[in-house]
Amino acid sequence: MDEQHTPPPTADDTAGPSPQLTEADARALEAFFEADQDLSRVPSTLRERAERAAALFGLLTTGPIEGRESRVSRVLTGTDTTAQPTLSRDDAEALDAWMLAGLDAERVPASLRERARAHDAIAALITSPAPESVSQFTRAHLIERTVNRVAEATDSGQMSEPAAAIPPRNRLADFLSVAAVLLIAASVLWPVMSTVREGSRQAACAGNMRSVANAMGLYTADNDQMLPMVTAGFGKSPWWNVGRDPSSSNSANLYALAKQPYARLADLACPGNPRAITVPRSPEARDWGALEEISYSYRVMAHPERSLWGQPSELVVVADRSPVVLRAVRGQVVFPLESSPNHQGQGQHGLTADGSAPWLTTPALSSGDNIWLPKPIEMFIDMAARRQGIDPIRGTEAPAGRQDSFVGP
Amino acid sequence: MDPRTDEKLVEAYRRGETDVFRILVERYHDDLHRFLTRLAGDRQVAEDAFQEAFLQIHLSLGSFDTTRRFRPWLFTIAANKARDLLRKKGRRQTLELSAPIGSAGGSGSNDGGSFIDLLEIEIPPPDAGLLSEEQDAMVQRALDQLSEPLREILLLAYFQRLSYAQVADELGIPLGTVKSRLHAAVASFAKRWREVSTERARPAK
Repeated sequence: MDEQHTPPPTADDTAGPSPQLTEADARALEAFFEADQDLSRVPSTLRERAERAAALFGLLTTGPIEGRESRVSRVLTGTDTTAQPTLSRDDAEALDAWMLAGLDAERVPASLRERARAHDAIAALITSPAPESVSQFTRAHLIERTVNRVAEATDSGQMSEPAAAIPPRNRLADFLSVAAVLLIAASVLWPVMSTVREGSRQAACAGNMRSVANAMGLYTADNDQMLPMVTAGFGKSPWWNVGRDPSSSNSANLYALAKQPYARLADLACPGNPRAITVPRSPEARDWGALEEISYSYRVMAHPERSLWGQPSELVVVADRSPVVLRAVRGQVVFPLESSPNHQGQGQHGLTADGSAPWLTTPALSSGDNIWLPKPIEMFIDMAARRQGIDPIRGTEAPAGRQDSFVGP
Repeated sequence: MDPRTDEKLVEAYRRGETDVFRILVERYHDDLHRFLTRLAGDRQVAEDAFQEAFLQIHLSLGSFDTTRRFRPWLFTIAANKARDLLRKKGRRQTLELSAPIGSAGGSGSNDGGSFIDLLEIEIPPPDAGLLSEEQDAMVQRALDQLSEPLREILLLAYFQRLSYAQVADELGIPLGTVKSRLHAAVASFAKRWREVSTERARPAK
């Protein structure tokens, strides 16, 4: 009996995967078939549902068992014309006139206009814009991701197919002349394409910042205005121990946004970081696996901080990854005014506590505060220290106060 | 706002003005995203199809005939992508037949089907403004219950505002089929809409 109510494959290629009945409806219909289409013999618990299903498929009036499975199938795939609802004759005429009039009821002959207006209303119902709360959430991100994906396709050599097939060329001279033209074109276009790509990366990164700002807002609202913090302070161990111990890694605090999840890991991946990961390494992961995978530096959370987010302030909470930390971890001399490697050293986005994410061409804010360093080091760092190769930062420092922008991995 | 037509932007992109691609994506975001969400009934599939469609546009622009209109081309590609993604996802539409049949205003029956009189169905007027989230979900629920071919033709015709002949041309199916399928689609949608509206009006048990 099982196979009896299973719709056979549809003959209509455009139908796609054939739809299925809900389990309850299928059970009811099966009982109806088993009872030889006699509703009175269907168990009472299924009778009402069986009657509705049978009525929709026209099985009550057409009677014969023959062809019933194909009937059900045709209804389910939309290719049945007898059991489907049908427009009244006036509505059908109005629909044709409305289509002819360019889907505008006001251009339909007066006798059909009232009914044509119903078609206007249905079309408006189906095509009207999404409620604001839905559309704003997706718009910016989807545009950035789409443009970025096309840019990546261009980067990897996936270009438009030519308009017409190029006839085969056999002669070496032809080959050489084509190669020469391509070389010249590449040398001219490369700087242009490179600028375009960086522009696209910056745009995608700005989109990420908007997502992170949104996530921060949701997180702080859910957590008594506290900034994300899952570590318990760092003591004397460096907070740049990424990949070794999430409990002593500042990036684990930012990762909490993706863990909850308030943001996706992809929102925390700048396209300017070639080693960025967009999906968690494992469902249990609580931090990135290595410093190089991190795209954004987060305020060094030496202790819990409340009511910083959402304030009118230029305090930087999240920024493109810090070049100072990358160098300091490797024991290299740092350059406090160096910009993030995410954007070829041209600048960085700095997500501020007021939720905006301006593009900063230097890590020094208008107040003089350097986002890569805590205040005390900014004050004492000098050329002599750097000339002597003294590390100005050891990974154990903390922001000097609520107004000190200082981000780390 | 770039004043150039879509087709001019396509020509410019082909000449190497890479920035114009973003203009096309932004220009079509709202409509195409809406169309795909309605078609797929699944926001993730809609977003993936949106990206795939523009990627396909980028890859196929060389063969696009700029004397034709860009919009139907884009929507047709996007619909194909959505269909492929749904297939890959193994989504099978589920029909719920629990709504009353023939008891809520149909004026007769026809071999088990019913005649739909649109004047008897309460549909918000076109100038009613933005849908509420509840209405939006109701429209989606009604559309989800349509079979794929019916849903696709309804959405393609409405979102692109195409004539029967243009739909036939875009989908490559006979004009008569377009006409009968669209009639069936409108009737089915109206019936489902009436059902979801009735469910909403019915007090919870």
